[in-house]
Amino acid sequence: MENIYKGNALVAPGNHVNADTAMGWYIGMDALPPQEIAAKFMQTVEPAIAGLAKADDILVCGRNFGYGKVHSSFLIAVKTIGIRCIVAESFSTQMFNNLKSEGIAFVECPGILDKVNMSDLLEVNFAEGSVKNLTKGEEYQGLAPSAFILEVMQSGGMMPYLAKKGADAQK
Amino acid sequence: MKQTLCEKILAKAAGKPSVTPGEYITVKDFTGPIFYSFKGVSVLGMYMDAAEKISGKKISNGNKYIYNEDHNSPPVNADSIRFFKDEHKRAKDIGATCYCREGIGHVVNVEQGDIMPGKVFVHFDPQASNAGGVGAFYTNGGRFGGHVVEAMAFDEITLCVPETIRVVIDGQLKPYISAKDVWFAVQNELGPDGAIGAVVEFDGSAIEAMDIDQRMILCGEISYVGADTALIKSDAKTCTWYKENFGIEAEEISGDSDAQYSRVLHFCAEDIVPMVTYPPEVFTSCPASELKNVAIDQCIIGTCIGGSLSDLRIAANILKGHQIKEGVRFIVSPVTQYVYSQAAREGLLSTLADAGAIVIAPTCDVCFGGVGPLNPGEVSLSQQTLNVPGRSGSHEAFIYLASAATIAASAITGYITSPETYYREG
Repeated sequence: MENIYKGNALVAPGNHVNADTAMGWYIGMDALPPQEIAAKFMQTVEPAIAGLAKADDILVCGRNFGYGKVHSSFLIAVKTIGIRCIVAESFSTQMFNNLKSEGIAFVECPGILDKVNMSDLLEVNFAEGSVKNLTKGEEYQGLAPSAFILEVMQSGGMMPYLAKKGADAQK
Repeated sequence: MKQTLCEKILAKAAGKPSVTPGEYITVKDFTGPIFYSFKGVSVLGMYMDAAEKISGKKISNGNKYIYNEDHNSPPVNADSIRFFKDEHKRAKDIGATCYCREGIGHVVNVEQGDIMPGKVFVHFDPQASNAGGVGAFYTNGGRFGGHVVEAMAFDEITLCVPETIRVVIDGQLKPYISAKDVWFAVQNELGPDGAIGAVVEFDGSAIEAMDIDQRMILCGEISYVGADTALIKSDAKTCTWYKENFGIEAEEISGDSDAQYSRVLHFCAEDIVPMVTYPPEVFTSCPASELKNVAIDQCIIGTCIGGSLSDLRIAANILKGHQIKEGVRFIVSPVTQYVYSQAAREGLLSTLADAGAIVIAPTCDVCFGGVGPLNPGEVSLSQQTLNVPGRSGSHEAFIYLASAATIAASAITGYITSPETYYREG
């Protein structure tokens, strides 16, 4: 996993945003074709996002993003679009764990939602927890990951980290 | 060294004399992992695939897993029957313990003695925190730790010892006040991220007086304030509940009240009134009396954080001799077959049926609209775990969450109604 992520911001407003609600989730949705799910990305929170979203874009969210239950559709959409980094004021534990599992870089940066506009070009340094807004010429300091989280993410996420653990155990 | 209940349990599970918040430990002594699947998603299959990819070999510790067949139960069409049977076979083939008709797994696994006080258990669903009510420690790795797949692949799980927030509720709850009302009041105070990454321990004389099934309900929604799990000590009442109902010997375990807590909150039990959570969020609650103009179309008593024996007793207390308002669909789904049978023996189910309730088997399906869907514009008052738009079908329906007592009283009037005038003493 790289450390630096550069891309245009997709700004999803609101705090305590439920990712299922943001997707308009319903039981059975997770089984739809991925492109169909991706077309509904964040539709109830910011309808403009689905049409703008492209690979390497950086999703920017508010406080406690991913609050409540998170079913698969949100992550299916993220991976299908090719989003590899999400910055939020803070993450719910469910979202934190899902992103950790999938190896999608995540940075908690209090105050970020007020500072970034849709499509601003951002550069995120995961290990430092910092965000540069190249469009506005500003820099914001978020929370650097702990040593354990850094190791997990540098392995590519929880599954590759555990695979390495398994391979090491067999040596 | 003074330890919180969480620290005591984790220290024991990690084979250490003590642990401190922020410390990373490896736990090999745990129950599970525990799974269920649901329509269209073989959760067990997904996790098995991931574990096999990581370890490079087939699952060999499946005899430790528990599989609960409580979603899409009973199956309602050809596809769901096939899925139900396929998942059952998948679990059986690896030697897992399967519960196919005992009811909702989050409670069945406690009744069956799989989940015990003072022990760690692993489940992929944070909703399993309800078992904290008997002093069992739920984990899926937590916010800062490992993963369920780690437990499957390596028979161990990495945990980061959380901080503990202590919530003390002293005094005497009014007889028509239950865990739901207490929970909504606590949630209002903590807010949706007030306990991020921590464990919440409930204590106090009101908690000690609470029925065990209500203690479990109190712990079931803790992830909605951001906590990794909740805990209540296992005391003489817990041990008596295990022994008298299920013939199981349990142990007492409690934290030290003068241990280091990151925060301590106090509530006075007498101040807690019947509360209702209003949509579209699960973290916004107000007294039921403020919603008396809200007409209702459907009621649900059930789910893993409802439908308990004490819930059915109080609902029957309130509905006895009354009729549910015409046009209100009142669904009762006892949380487990044990509760269903015991409620039947006590005459509770017939009292509810006489009032017009639709009494069905234990099932998770009432929680997500598999049973009891809602049309646009309809209003439900229920014990569901979530009330987000679309939870029970229509995104234009409204789900309010409440205690069994409030639900029962509201069914009589057809509007959200605080239960105190309908509850009968003695």
